Amino acid sequence: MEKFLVSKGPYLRSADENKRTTSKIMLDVCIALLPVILLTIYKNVIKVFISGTYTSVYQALYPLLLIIIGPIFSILLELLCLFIIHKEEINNFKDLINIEKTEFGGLPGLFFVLTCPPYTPLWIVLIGIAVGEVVGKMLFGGFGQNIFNPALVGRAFIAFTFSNYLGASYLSPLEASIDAYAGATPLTFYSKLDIANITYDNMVSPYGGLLNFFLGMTPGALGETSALAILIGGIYLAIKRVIDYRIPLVYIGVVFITTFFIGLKVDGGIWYPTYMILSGGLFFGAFFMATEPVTSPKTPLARVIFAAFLGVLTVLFRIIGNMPEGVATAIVTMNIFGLAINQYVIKLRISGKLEKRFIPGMVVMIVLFITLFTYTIVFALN
Amino acid sequence: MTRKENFLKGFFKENPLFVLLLGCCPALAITTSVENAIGMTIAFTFVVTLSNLFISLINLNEKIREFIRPIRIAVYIVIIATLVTIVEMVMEAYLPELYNSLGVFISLITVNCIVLGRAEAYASKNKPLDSIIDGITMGLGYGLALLIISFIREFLGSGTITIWKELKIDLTGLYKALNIEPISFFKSSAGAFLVLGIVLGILQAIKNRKARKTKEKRVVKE
Repeated sequence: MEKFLVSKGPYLRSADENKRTTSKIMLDVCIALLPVILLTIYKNVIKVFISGTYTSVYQALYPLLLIIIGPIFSILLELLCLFIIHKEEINNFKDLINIEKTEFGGLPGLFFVLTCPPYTPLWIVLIGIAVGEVVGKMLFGGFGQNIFNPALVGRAFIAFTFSNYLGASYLSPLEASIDAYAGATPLTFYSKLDIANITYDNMVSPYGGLLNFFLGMTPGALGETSALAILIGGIYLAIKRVIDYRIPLVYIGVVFITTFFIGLKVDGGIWYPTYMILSGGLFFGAFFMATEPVTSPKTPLARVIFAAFLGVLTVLFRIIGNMPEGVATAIVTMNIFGLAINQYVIKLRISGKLEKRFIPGMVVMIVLFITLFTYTIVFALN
Repeated sequence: MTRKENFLKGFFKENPLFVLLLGCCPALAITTSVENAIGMTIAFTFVVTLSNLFISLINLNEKIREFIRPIRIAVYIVIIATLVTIVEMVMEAYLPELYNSLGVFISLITVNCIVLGRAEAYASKNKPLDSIIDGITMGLGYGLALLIISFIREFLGSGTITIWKELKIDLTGLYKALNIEPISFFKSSAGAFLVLGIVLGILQAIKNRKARKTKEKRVVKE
């Protein structure tokens, strides 16, 4: 008798391309991360070395150390978890490695480190990886079963628990020597400003123009600063069809539109929404986190809805929340609703036409979106 | 069920919090320190034991039992509320600090589902002595669960273990030696959910393993 094979998601359609396996997708993600990692090494290590402002070699190499330790620690933790889970089936170390090969344990650790400030104390990084890896991934059943993005679970955990440490570990010795930098990151500074004080001179000039934001020469977390490097990686992934271009496009677009309306009150300049999409972890979140195949919706329409809500929530959290950045919180929040949106869209698609039973859900989503949108703008302007 | 079995069931086999998942609300709210857990255990055991006794006594008489049948929940609540009021007043008079830190959760013992559940499910059908034993084991079992959760939460959240007022084990030195800080997340209620979930998961894993082993043994015998 033949048996049905039930395997873990994310699933691939065989029509997509020949011989595309999950490991190839993950390899593509690693390739796409390369420009981000190279640029962050240039910005946080090489530039500091050239300027000579470091006090010890350890301090100068610290960001590189984090990028190396993150994935390794994550894999080790996952091996431990897998050993506990599959104790009966494992006879020797080789079996364990074979299971680990389908779990891709290094990626959550790498992503987590890239969302951390460059000088985060090592123990905070380790705690964050442990929470993300064990609570966010393995307790749900491992790769393909997790509801939340593991890296962001860890990031949200340390952001809420050790916010004072994180705020102090953004600036490299080179950046700390520049007097013009008023806050830890552009967004930290922005969150302390009144709406009346928001001007181009105040917010962008200290960092030397918007081009610096695009290139990533502003203080910020390891992987998030350079929109250029992320764009290169993201476009590569989109061409390879690993990620859906709709999510980043809609996500960044909605953030741009929302902040454009807020910007009308400021001085109407296009610089304000550009500043808002280029600062913080928006690009990194949009291209690498919100598109994660396991936790994001699978149908195109559901992805658009998902990304639109992400955009509004991100601006909302940035403006109202007591933390300067809102991307991580917004993505974790929307991961909860991703499955529901996906189910709704699938039913809609099967039915083929707009039946009566779909109207309540649609009304709820539209009303919720408009409410959040207007609330964000009204709150920001007062 | 012998008396000994009856006494032992509350700790692991029928633990109110870990197995029946009753009384989650105070378990999540007051377990920020071991001291709170101990205070809650004492108050709770007192209430559940005596309420079991009185309810069992009421139900001994066939006539009264039939008479109060339609309104029995209200009668039970009156008895429990009386006991809780006693505990609350005594605690406010003699242990004001503990009273303040436990706050509203002392009064909420009244509507705690364990107390009412034991009254309805056990005390109303059993003899007074058995009911007392059941009350004690439920109270202590719940206390054990609270102790485990509060121990983990206080150790990770603030780095101390407060046993009673001044009697305190200070482990912040350990944190300092490692050059780290306690994780304040575990002081919040979200941390309580996480700890409760993980403890439940570990206990379930142990139970599953035991069940599998006994099954294997049976297979081997056959």
